[in-house]
Amino acid sequence: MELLTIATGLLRDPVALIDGPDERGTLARLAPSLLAITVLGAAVFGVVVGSYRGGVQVVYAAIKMPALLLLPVVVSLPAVRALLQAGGLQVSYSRVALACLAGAARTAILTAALGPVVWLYYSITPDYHASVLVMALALGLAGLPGMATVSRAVIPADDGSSVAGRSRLRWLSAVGILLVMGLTGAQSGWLLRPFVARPTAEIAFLRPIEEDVFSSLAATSRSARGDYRGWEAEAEGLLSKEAP
Amino acid sequence: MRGELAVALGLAYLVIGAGVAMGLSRRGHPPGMAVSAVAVWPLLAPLLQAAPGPTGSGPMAERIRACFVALAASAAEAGGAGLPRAEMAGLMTSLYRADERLAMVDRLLENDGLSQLEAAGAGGDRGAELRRSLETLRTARSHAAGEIEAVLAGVLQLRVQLGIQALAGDRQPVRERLQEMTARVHALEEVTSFTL
Repeated sequence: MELLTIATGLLRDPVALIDGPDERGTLARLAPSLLAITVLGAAVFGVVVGSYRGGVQVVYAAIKMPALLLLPVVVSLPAVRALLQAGGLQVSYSRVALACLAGAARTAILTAALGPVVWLYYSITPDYHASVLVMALALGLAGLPGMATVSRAVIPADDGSSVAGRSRLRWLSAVGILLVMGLTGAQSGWLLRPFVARPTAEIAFLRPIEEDVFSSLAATSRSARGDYRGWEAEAEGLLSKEAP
Repeated sequence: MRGELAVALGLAYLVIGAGVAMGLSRRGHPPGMAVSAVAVWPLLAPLLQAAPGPTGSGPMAERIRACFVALAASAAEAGGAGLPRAEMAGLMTSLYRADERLAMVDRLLENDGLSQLEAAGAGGDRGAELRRSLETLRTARSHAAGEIEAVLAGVLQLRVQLGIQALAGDRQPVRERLQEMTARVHALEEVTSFTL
Protein backbone atom coordinates (compact mmCIF):
# COMPACT_ATOMS: atom_id res chain seq x y z
CA MET A 1 0.00 0.00 0.00
CA GLU A 2 2.85 2.31 0.94
CA LEU A 3 4.54 1.57 -2.40
CA LEU A 4 1.35 2.28 -4.33
CA THR A 5 0.87 5.60 -2.55
CA ILE A 6 4.44 6.64 -3.26
CA ALA A 7 4.19 5.47 -6.87
CA THR A 8 1.07 7.59 -7.31
CA GLY A 9 2.87 10.56 -5.79
CA LEU A 10 5.82 10.01 -8.12
CA LEU A 11 3.59 10.13 -11.16
CA ARG A 12 1.37 13.01 -10.07
CA ASP A 13 3.81 15.37 -8.40
CA PRO A 14 7.22 13.89 -7.55
CA VAL A 15 8.61 17.17 -6.27
CA ALA A 16 5.77 17.55 -3.75
CA LEU A 17 6.40 13.98 -2.62
CA ILE A 18 10.00 14.68 -1.65
CA ASP A 19 9.39 18.28 -0.65
CA GLY A 20 9.37 17.65 3.08
CA PRO A 21 11.03 20.18 5.33
CA ASP A 22 13.27 17.58 6.99
CA GLU A 23 15.34 16.43 4.02
CA ARG A 24 17.43 13.84 5.81
CA GLY A 25 14.36 12.44 7.52
CA THR A 26 12.51 12.32 4.21
CA LEU A 27 15.46 10.52 2.62
CA ALA A 28 15.52 7.97 5.44
CA ARG A 29 11.74 7.48 5.16
CA LEU A 30 11.42 7.32 1.36
CA ALA A 31 14.71 5.73 0.23
CA PRO A 32 13.69 2.08 0.81
CA SER A 33 10.39 2.53 -1.02
CA LEU A 34 11.95 4.47 -3.90
CA LEU A 35 14.65 1.82 -4.29
CA ALA A 36 12.04 -0.94 -4.23
CA ILE A 37 9.94 0.82 -6.88
CA THR A 38 13.03 1.33 -9.05
CA VAL A 39 14.06 -2.32 -8.81
CA LEU A 40 10.54 -3.67 -9.39
CA GLY A 41 9.64 -1.35 -12.26
CA ALA A 42 12.94 -1.76 -14.06
CA ALA A 43 12.88 -5.54 -13.55
CA VAL A 44 9.47 -5.72 -15.25
CA PHE A 45 10.86 -3.82 -18.23
CA GLY A 46 13.93 -6.07 -18.15
CA VAL A 47 11.72 -9.15 -18.39
CA VAL A 48 10.00 -7.66 -21.44
CA VAL A 49 13.27 -6.77 -23.14
CA GLY A 50 14.84 -10.13 -22.30
CA SER A 51 11.81 -11.90 -23.77
CA TYR A 52 13.06 -10.98 -27.26
CA ARG A 53 15.64 -13.73 -26.90
CA GLY A 54 13.96 -15.68 -24.11
CA GLY A 55 15.48 -18.25 -21.77
CA VAL A 56 18.06 -17.10 -19.26
CA GLN A 57 18.32 -13.72 -21.00
CA VAL A 58 14.97 -12.82 -19.37
CA VAL A 59 16.60 -13.22 -15.95
CA TYR A 60 19.81 -11.43 -16.97
CA ALA A 61 17.91 -8.45 -18.35
CA ALA A 62 15.64 -8.31 -15.29
CA ILE A 63 18.72 -8.16 -13.05
CA LYS A 64 20.61 -5.63 -15.15
CA MET A 65 17.78 -3.20 -15.90
CA PRO A 66 17.55 -1.85 -12.29
CA ALA A 67 21.33 -1.41 -12.37
CA LEU A 68 20.92 0.52 -15.61
CA LEU A 69 18.68 3.04 -13.83
CA LEU A 70 20.66 3.25 -10.59
CA LEU A 71 24.22 3.29 -11.95
CA PRO A 72 23.94 6.69 -13.70
CA VAL A 73 22.34 8.16 -10.58
CA VAL A 74 25.12 6.90 -8.35
CA VAL A 75 27.87 7.95 -10.76
CA SER A 76 26.54 11.40 -11.58
CA LEU A 77 25.53 12.43 -8.06
CA PRO A 78 28.74 14.39 -7.31
CA ALA A 79 28.63 16.04 -10.74
CA VAL A 80 25.01 17.10 -10.20
CA ARG A 81 25.93 18.63 -6.85
CA ALA A 82 28.91 20.42 -8.39
CA LEU A 83 26.76 21.80 -11.22
CA LEU A 84 24.26 23.12 -8.70
CA GLN A 85 26.97 24.83 -6.71
CA ALA A 86 28.44 26.27 -9.89
CA GLY A 87 24.99 27.68 -10.59
CA GLY A 88 24.94 29.37 -7.19
CA LEU A 89 22.38 26.97 -5.73
CA GLN A 90 23.00 25.68 -2.24
CA VAL A 91 21.22 22.33 -2.25
CA SER A 92 21.98 19.75 0.41
CA TYR A 93 23.45 16.39 -0.56
CA SER A 94 20.38 14.72 0.98
CA ARG A 95 18.12 16.71 -1.30
CA VAL A 96 20.16 15.80 -4.39
CA ALA A 97 20.18 12.11 -3.43
CA LEU A 98 16.44 12.20 -2.80
CA ALA A 99 15.81 13.92 -6.14
CA CYS A 100 17.96 11.37 -7.99
CA LEU A 101 16.18 8.46 -6.30
CA ALA A 102 12.79 9.93 -7.15
CA GLY A 103 13.90 10.45 -10.75
CA ALA A 104 15.08 6.84 -11.04
CA ALA A 105 11.88 5.52 -9.45
CA ARG A 106 9.71 7.62 -11.78
CA THR A 107 11.66 6.37 -14.79
CA ALA A 108 11.24 2.78 -13.56
CA ILE A 109 7.46 3.16 -13.27
CA LEU A 110 7.27 4.64 -16.75
CA THR A 111 9.46 1.93 -18.27
CA ALA A 112 7.23 -0.70 -16.66
CA ALA A 113 4.23 1.11 -18.14
CA LEU A 114 5.85 1.04 -21.58
CA GLY A 115 6.57 -2.67 -21.16
CA PRO A 116 3.35 -3.92 -22.79
CA VAL A 117 3.91 -1.70 -25.84
CA VAL A 118 7.46 -2.99 -26.28
CA TRP A 119 6.28 -6.55 -25.68
CA LEU A 120 3.62 -6.15 -28.35
CA TYR A 121 6.25 -4.90 -30.78
CA TYR A 122 8.60 -7.78 -29.96
CA SER A 123 5.75 -10.23 -30.48
CA ILE A 124 5.87 -9.54 -34.21
CA THR A 125 9.52 -10.74 -34.12
CA PRO A 126 11.20 -7.64 -35.50
CA ASP A 127 14.81 -7.38 -36.63
CA TYR A 128 17.38 -7.39 -33.77
CA HIS A 129 18.60 -3.85 -34.50
CA ALA A 130 15.08 -2.48 -34.64
CA SER A 131 14.41 -4.16 -31.29
CA VAL A 132 17.46 -2.47 -29.75
CA LEU A 133 16.34 0.89 -31.08
CA VAL A 134 12.81 0.41 -29.70
CA MET A 135 14.26 -0.44 -26.29
CA ALA A 136 16.52 2.64 -26.41
CA LEU A 137 13.56 4.76 -27.49
CA ALA A 138 11.40 3.46 -24.64
CA LEU A 139 14.18 4.11 -22.13
CA GLY A 140 14.68 7.58 -23.55
CA LEU A 141 10.96 8.35 -23.37
CA ALA A 142 10.74 7.14 -19.79
CA GLY A 143 14.06 8.70 -18.80
CA LEU A 144 13.22 12.25 -19.82
CA PRO A 145 10.48 12.76 -17.18
CA GLY A 146 12.79 11.13 -14.64
CA MET A 147 15.62 13.52 -15.40
CA ALA A 148 13.19 16.43 -15.43
CA THR A 149 12.13 15.35 -11.94
CA VAL A 150 15.73 15.55 -10.75
CA SER A 151 16.17 18.94 -12.32
CA ARG A 152 12.91 20.35 -10.92
CA ALA A 153 13.53 18.94 -7.47
CA VAL A 154 16.95 20.49 -7.03
CA ILE A 155 16.47 23.76 -8.87
CA PRO A 156 13.73 25.84 -7.27
CA ALA A 157 11.29 27.62 -9.55
CA ASP A 158 12.45 31.09 -10.45
CA ASP A 159 10.14 33.42 -8.54
CA GLY A 160 11.26 36.42 -10.55
CA SER A 161 13.42 37.82 -7.77
CA SER A 162 16.69 36.53 -9.26
CA VAL A 163 18.88 38.81 -11.28
CA ALA A 164 19.25 37.89 -14.95
CA GLY A 165 22.76 36.40 -14.53
CA ARG A 166 21.63 34.13 -11.69
CA SER A 167 18.65 33.02 -13.75
CA ARG A 168 20.94 32.05 -16.63
CA LEU A 169 23.16 30.08 -14.26
CA ARG A 170 20.14 28.14 -13.02
CA TRP A 171 19.18 27.36 -16.57
CA LEU A 172 22.71 26.23 -17.37
CA SER A 173 22.74 24.04 -14.25
CA ALA A 174 19.50 22.38 -15.35
CA VAL A 175 20.85 21.71 -18.84
CA GLY A 176 24.12 20.45 -17.37
CA ILE A 177 22.31 18.04 -15.07
CA LEU A 178 20.23 16.68 -17.95
CA LEU A 179 23.34 16.24 -20.09
CA VAL A 180 25.40 14.54 -17.40
CA MET A 181 22.62 12.15 -16.42
CA GLY A 182 21.68 11.45 -20.03
CA LEU A 183 25.26 10.68 -21.04
CA THR A 184 26.03 8.51 -18.01
CA GLY A 185 22.71 6.71 -18.51
CA ALA A 186 23.47 5.97 -22.14
CA GLN A 187 27.02 4.80 -21.43
CA SER A 188 25.80 2.66 -18.49
CA GLY A 189 23.43 0.94 -20.87
CA TRP A 190 26.33 0.27 -23.18
CA LEU A 191 28.48 -1.18 -20.40
CA LEU A 192 25.68 -3.40 -19.07
CA ARG A 193 24.59 -4.74 -22.46
CA PRO A 194 23.28 -7.05 -23.83
CA PHE A 195 19.66 -6.48 -22.83
CA VAL A 196 18.25 -7.56 -26.17
CA ALA A 197 20.40 -10.55 -27.08
CA ARG A 198 20.89 -11.49 -30.73
CA PRO A 199 18.82 -14.56 -31.61
CA THR A 200 21.91 -16.40 -32.86
CA ALA A 201 24.51 -15.19 -30.35
CA GLU A 202 25.62 -17.02 -27.25
CA ILE A 203 23.92 -15.54 -24.20
CA ALA A 204 26.30 -13.69 -21.87
CA PHE A 205 25.61 -11.66 -18.74
CA LEU A 206 27.97 -8.87 -19.88
CA ARG A 207 29.85 -8.26 -23.11
CA PRO A 208 33.50 -7.19 -23.26
CA ILE A 209 34.11 -3.44 -23.06
CA GLU A 210 34.48 -1.89 -26.51
CA GLU A 211 33.91 1.56 -28.03
CA ASP A 212 30.99 3.58 -26.65
CA VAL A 213 27.24 3.90 -26.89
CA PHE A 214 27.14 6.58 -29.57
CA SER A 215 29.16 4.68 -32.15
CA SER A 216 26.99 1.67 -31.44
CA LEU A 217 23.71 3.56 -31.83
CA ALA A 218 24.94 5.04 -35.11
CA ALA A 219 25.93 1.59 -36.36
CA THR A 220 22.69 -0.03 -35.23
CA SER A 221 20.67 2.77 -36.91
CA ARG A 222 22.50 2.06 -40.15
CA SER A 223 21.98 -1.67 -39.71
CA ALA A 224 18.25 -1.16 -39.14
CA ARG A 225 18.20 0.45 -42.61
CA GLY A 226 20.07 -2.51 -44.10
CA ASP A 227 23.56 -0.95 -44.09
CA TYR A 228 25.81 -3.28 -42.09
CA ARG A 229 29.05 -1.26 -42.30
CA GLY A 230 30.68 0.17 -39.15
CA TRP A 231 30.59 -2.84 -36.85
CA GLU A 232 34.37 -3.15 -36.65
CA ALA A 233 34.36 -2.06 -33.02
CA GLU A 234 37.73 -1.16 -31.56
CA ALA A 235 38.72 -1.13 -27.94
CA GLU A 236 38.89 2.45 -26.64
CA GLY A 237 38.95 4.34 -23.37
CA LEU A 238 40.68 3.91 -20.01
CA LEU A 239 39.20 0.53 -19.14
CA SER A 240 40.01 -0.97 -22.49
CA LYS A 241 43.78 -0.23 -22.52
CA GLU A 242 45.66 -3.46 -22.42
CA ALA A 243 49.02 -3.66 -20.70
CA PRO A 244 51.89 -3.54 -23.20
CA MET B 1 44.89 -5.34 -16.97
CA ARG B 2 41.42 -4.14 -17.99
CA GLY B 3 39.68 -6.90 -16.08
CA GLU B 4 41.88 -6.39 -13.02
CA LEU B 5 41.15 -2.68 -12.92
CA ALA B 6 37.42 -3.27 -13.19
CA VAL B 7 37.51 -5.89 -10.42
CA ALA B 8 39.60 -3.61 -8.17
CA LEU B 9 37.20 -0.71 -8.72
CA GLY B 10 34.21 -2.94 -8.06
CA LEU B 11 35.74 -4.32 -4.89
CA ALA B 12 36.63 -0.85 -3.62
CA TYR B 13 33.04 0.25 -4.27
CA LEU B 14 31.67 -2.74 -2.35
CA VAL B 15 34.08 -2.26 0.57
CA ILE B 16 33.02 1.37 0.94
CA GLY B 17 29.40 0.24 0.63
CA ALA B 18 29.90 -2.29 3.41
CA GLY B 19 31.38 0.45 5.60
CA VAL B 20 28.41 2.74 4.94
CA ALA B 21 26.03 -0.16 5.61
CA MET B 22 27.67 -0.81 8.98
CA GLY B 23 27.52 2.88 9.82
CA LEU B 24 23.82 3.05 8.99
CA SER B 25 23.13 -0.10 10.97
CA ARG B 26 24.91 1.36 14.03
CA ARG B 27 22.81 4.51 13.74
CA GLY B 28 19.65 2.48 14.05
CA HIS B 29 18.50 2.43 10.42
CA PRO B 30 16.51 -0.66 9.38
CA PRO B 31 18.46 -3.67 8.03
CA GLY B 32 16.91 -3.28 4.55
CA MET B 33 18.32 0.21 4.31
CA ALA B 34 21.74 -0.95 5.46
CA VAL B 35 21.81 -3.78 2.90
CA SER B 36 20.74 -1.40 0.13
CA ALA B 37 23.64 0.86 1.05
CA VAL B 38 26.14 -1.78 -0.11
CA ALA B 39 24.87 -1.28 -3.66
CA VAL B 40 23.88 2.39 -3.68
CA TRP B 41 25.92 3.93 -0.87
CA PRO B 42 26.46 7.28 -2.60
CA LEU B 43 22.71 7.85 -2.36
CA LEU B 44 22.40 6.88 1.28
CA ALA B 45 25.67 8.34 2.57
CA PRO B 46 23.95 11.57 3.78
CA LEU B 47 22.22 9.50 6.45
CA LEU B 48 25.63 8.93 8.05
CA GLN B 49 26.09 12.61 8.78
CA ALA B 50 24.14 12.49 11.99
CA ALA B 51 22.10 10.26 14.20
CA PRO B 52 18.68 9.43 12.76
CA GLY B 53 16.21 12.22 13.06
CA PRO B 54 13.24 12.02 15.35
CA THR B 55 11.35 8.78 15.02
CA GLY B 56 7.93 10.41 15.16
CA SER B 57 6.76 8.11 17.92
CA GLY B 58 5.30 10.76 20.25
CA PRO B 59 1.61 11.14 21.06
CA MET B 60 1.19 14.07 18.65
CA ALA B 61 3.45 12.78 15.86
CA GLU B 62 0.59 12.04 13.48
CA ARG B 63 -0.85 15.54 13.89
CA ILE B 64 2.56 17.12 13.36
CA ARG B 65 3.05 15.11 10.19
CA ALA B 66 -0.43 15.98 8.91
CA CYS B 67 0.09 19.69 9.58
CA PHE B 68 3.36 19.80 7.65
CA VAL B 69 2.04 17.70 4.79
CA ALA B 70 -0.87 20.14 4.46
CA LEU B 71 1.50 23.09 4.64
CA ALA B 72 3.80 21.57 2.00
CA ALA B 73 0.78 20.96 -0.24
CA SER B 74 -0.34 24.58 0.16
CA ALA B 75 3.17 25.82 -0.52
CA ALA B 76 3.36 23.66 -3.66
CA GLU B 77 0.00 24.99 -4.80
CA ALA B 78 1.23 28.53 -4.21
CA GLY B 79 4.20 27.90 -6.47
CA GLY B 80 6.63 26.60 -3.89
CA ALA B 81 8.04 30.02 -3.16
CA GLY B 82 7.97 31.84 0.15
CA LEU B 83 8.55 29.01 2.61
CA PRO B 84 12.19 28.72 3.59
CA ARG B 85 12.87 25.00 3.40
CA ALA B 86 15.65 24.88 5.99
CA GLU B 87 13.63 26.77 8.60
CA MET B 88 10.62 24.53 8.03
CA ALA B 89 12.86 21.48 8.44
CA GLY B 90 14.21 22.83 11.69
CA LEU B 91 10.75 23.62 13.00
CA MET B 92 9.37 20.19 12.20
CA THR B 93 12.38 18.41 13.70
CA SER B 94 12.13 20.49 16.88
CA LEU B 95 8.42 19.70 17.13
CA TYR B 96 9.04 15.98 16.72
CA ARG B 97 11.75 16.09 19.36
CA ALA B 98 9.50 17.98 21.78
CA ASP B 99 6.80 15.39 21.08
CA GLU B 100 9.23 12.55 21.78
CA ARG B 101 10.05 14.15 25.12
CA LEU B 102 6.31 14.13 25.87
CA ALA B 103 6.23 10.41 25.10
CA MET B 104 9.16 9.84 27.42
CA VAL B 105 7.41 11.74 30.24
CA ASP B 106 4.20 9.78 29.58
CA ARG B 107 6.10 6.52 29.92
CA LEU B 108 7.61 7.77 33.13
CA LEU B 109 4.26 8.82 34.60
CA GLU B 110 2.65 5.53 33.60
CA ASN B 111 5.50 3.57 35.15
CA ASP B 112 4.03 1.12 37.68
CA GLY B 113 7.06 1.29 39.97
CA LEU B 114 6.75 5.05 40.28
CA SER B 115 3.01 4.81 41.08
CA GLN B 116 3.68 2.19 43.74
CA LEU B 117 6.43 4.33 45.23
CA GLU B 118 4.07 7.30 45.31
CA ALA B 119 1.37 5.21 47.00
CA ALA B 120 3.79 3.58 49.46
CA GLY B 121 5.14 6.86 50.80
CA ALA B 122 1.72 8.45 50.95
CA GLY B 123 1.95 9.68 54.54
CA GLY B 124 5.56 10.73 55.09
CA ASP B 125 7.68 13.71 54.02
CA ARG B 126 9.27 11.70 51.25
CA GLY B 127 5.82 10.86 49.91
CA ALA B 128 4.81 14.50 49.86
CA GLU B 129 8.05 15.43 48.13
CA LEU B 130 7.54 12.74 45.51
CA ARG B 131 3.98 13.87 44.90
CA ARG B 132 5.18 17.46 44.47
CA SER B 133 7.84 16.34 42.00
CA LEU B 134 5.34 14.31 40.04
CA GLU B 135 2.89 17.21 40.05
CA THR B 136 5.65 19.48 38.71
CA LEU B 137 6.40 16.94 35.99
CA ARG B 138 2.72 16.74 35.04
CA THR B 139 2.50 20.53 34.91
CA ALA B 140 5.61 20.70 32.74
CA ARG B 141 4.19 18.02 30.47
CA SER B 142 0.92 19.87 30.18
CA HIS B 143 2.77 23.12 29.42
CA ALA B 144 4.89 21.46 26.72
CA ALA B 145 1.82 19.82 25.14
CA GLY B 146 0.07 23.21 25.12
CA GLU B 147 3.06 24.84 23.44
CA ILE B 148 3.15 22.15 20.75
CA GLU B 149 -0.58 22.64 20.19
CA ALA B 150 -0.04 26.38 19.86
CA VAL B 151 2.76 25.93 17.34
CA LEU B 152 0.66 23.47 15.31
CA ALA B 153 -2.12 26.05 15.24
CA GLY B 154 0.50 28.52 14.03
CA VAL B 155 1.55 26.12 11.26
CA LEU B 156 -2.05 25.97 10.08
CA GLN B 157 -2.16 29.75 10.26
CA LEU B 158 0.84 29.80 7.92
CA ARG B 159 -1.31 28.16 5.25
CA VAL B 160 -3.69 31.10 5.43
CA GLN B 161 -0.77 33.49 5.17
CA LEU B 162 0.47 31.63 2.11
CA GLY B 163 -2.90 32.36 0.50
CA ILE B 164 -2.58 36.02 1.44
CA GLN B 165 0.94 36.03 0.07
CA ALA B 166 -0.30 34.55 -3.20
CA LEU B 167 -2.67 37.50 -3.53
CA ALA B 168 -0.62 40.31 -2.02
CA GLY B 169 2.87 39.03 -2.84
CA ASP B 170 4.33 40.03 0.52
CA ARG B 171 6.30 37.10 1.90
CA GLN B 172 7.86 38.82 4.90
CA PRO B 173 5.05 37.92 7.37
CA VAL B 174 5.35 34.20 6.51
CA ARG B 175 9.06 34.17 7.27
CA GLU B 176 8.58 36.15 10.48
CA ARG B 177 5.81 33.85 11.62
CA LEU B 178 7.98 30.81 10.96
CA GLN B 179 10.89 32.29 12.92
CA GLU B 180 8.58 33.12 15.79
CA MET B 181 7.28 29.55 15.95
CA THR B 182 10.79 28.12 15.71
CA ALA B 183 11.87 30.25 18.66
CA ARG B 184 8.82 29.10 20.59
CA VAL B 185 9.62 25.43 20.07
CA HIS B 186 13.29 25.98 20.86
CA ALA B 187 12.25 27.53 24.14
CA LEU B 188 10.67 24.19 25.04
CA GLU B 189 14.13 22.63 24.96
CA GLU B 190 15.31 24.92 27.72
CA VAL B 191 14.32 23.78 31.18
CA THR B 192 14.33 27.37 32.37
CA SER B 193 11.40 28.15 30.11
CA PHE B 194 9.16 26.08 32.33
CA THR B 195 7.90 27.38 35.60
CA LEU B 196 9.16 24.44 37.59
